[in-house]
Amino acid sequence: MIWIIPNIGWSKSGGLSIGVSVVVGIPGGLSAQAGSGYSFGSNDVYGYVGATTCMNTVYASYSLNSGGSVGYTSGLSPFSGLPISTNFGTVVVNYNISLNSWSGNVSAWQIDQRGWTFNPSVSVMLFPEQTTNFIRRGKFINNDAILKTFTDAGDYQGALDYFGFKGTYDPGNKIFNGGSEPGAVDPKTGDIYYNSTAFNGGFDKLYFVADHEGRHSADVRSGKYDNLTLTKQIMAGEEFNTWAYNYRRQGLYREHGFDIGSRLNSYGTVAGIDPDIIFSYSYYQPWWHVIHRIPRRW
Amino acid sequence: MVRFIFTIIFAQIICLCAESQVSNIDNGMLLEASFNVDTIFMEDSLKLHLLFKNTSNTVLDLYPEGIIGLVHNHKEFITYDTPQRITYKLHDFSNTKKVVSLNPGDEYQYDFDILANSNFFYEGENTVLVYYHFFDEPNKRKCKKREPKLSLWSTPINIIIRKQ
Repeated sequence: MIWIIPNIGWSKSGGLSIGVSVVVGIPGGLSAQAGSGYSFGSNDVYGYVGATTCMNTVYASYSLNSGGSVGYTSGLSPFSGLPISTNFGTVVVNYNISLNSWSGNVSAWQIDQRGWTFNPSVSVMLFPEQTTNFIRRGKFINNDAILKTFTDAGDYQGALDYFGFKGTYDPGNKIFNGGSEPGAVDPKTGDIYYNSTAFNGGFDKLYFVADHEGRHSADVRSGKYDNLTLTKQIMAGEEFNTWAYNYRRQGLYREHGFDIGSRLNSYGTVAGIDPDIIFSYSYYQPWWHVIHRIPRRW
Repeated sequence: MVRFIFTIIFAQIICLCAESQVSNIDNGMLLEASFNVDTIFMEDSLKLHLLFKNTSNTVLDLYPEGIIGLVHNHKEFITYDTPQRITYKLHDFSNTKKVVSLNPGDEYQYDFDILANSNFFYEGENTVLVYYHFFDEPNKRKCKKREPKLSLWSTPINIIIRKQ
């Protein structure tokens, strides 16, 4: 997967800056990235390359004012997936090759030869969907609009391929039995099938269905159900766990349109799961569950 | 701060220990289900007959008012278009006050009046199962995950729903 992410940032010492990053992989999870930008405050042009795994990044950078650097950063960097990020959740160690000097920061506190200084920074993604679609399709439009161009043309499989969603568009598959269920997974092979109704609610609905079926598929292919009689109670438990997985990832597809609470309640009931656990999803939601709906890109 | 951290760790250990104390699911009871008709029109009412039978060699207590419902016998993982399609709930809590003592071989049976509505049923042939789960008491320790005291499933039963 390729992401092109324009961003605008501000830091106390560097002032306003703009930049663009090209990221391959799952940014923040397992990715390689390169980018460049311009800082208005220090009138500086910079560029960087980096590799990230599990929020740990090694990078090399170069700026016209400061020269070359290499470093390591850990934490909620601009590649953590949040549309807005700050350096409050990061730790950085940096070595400037040109100046032969060390520096770093813990949260917004920065340290170098001059001692500790408070240097908060914030970065905001700018139109990452539109920019990525512009590079790939030549149209500066969001994912909903891109999806509509595919569905208007009747190219449903093309939409799945474009967004990188695994599975086959197959509304005539006997699994659906002529019904309107948006997706299904073969419990023996893990193959994913989509119905036309997966495409009628915008990108977030399609993303949700693909994420849901993808989780089932991964569970089947992991072998956890091999040599096991797949009873309805086990299947309902798998559904409960998968809807709970989607529940925790709602920030990815906020406009999905599914009543997750009702489905958790129903599948939990069928699976014989403790009602007190089921109800916490639909009736007694703890206040902190709001974190699941914080918008994020990945 | 250190005391707080140790308190959190201690609480986690208690939760983990509690979760490992899972009650056994009793298999000494059989659940059979049947409809009073083979074919019916959509939105008409029908009766679901349930029969519980003690198949063990000992006297068993049955709490007939457990969590009971119907579910489609689909063999695939299907994302239903509506949550109502997942299950037709017939009774949604465990009544610990109503108990029936069954000797070996004894049966207990009763009927549910249900509606062949299009929220749950499909037009055409439907193959469904009945589930029964019984939880013996409210969960007073929220960190303890409970298993049902008794879980029963009927064999699949068929009903054909015709368009009105």
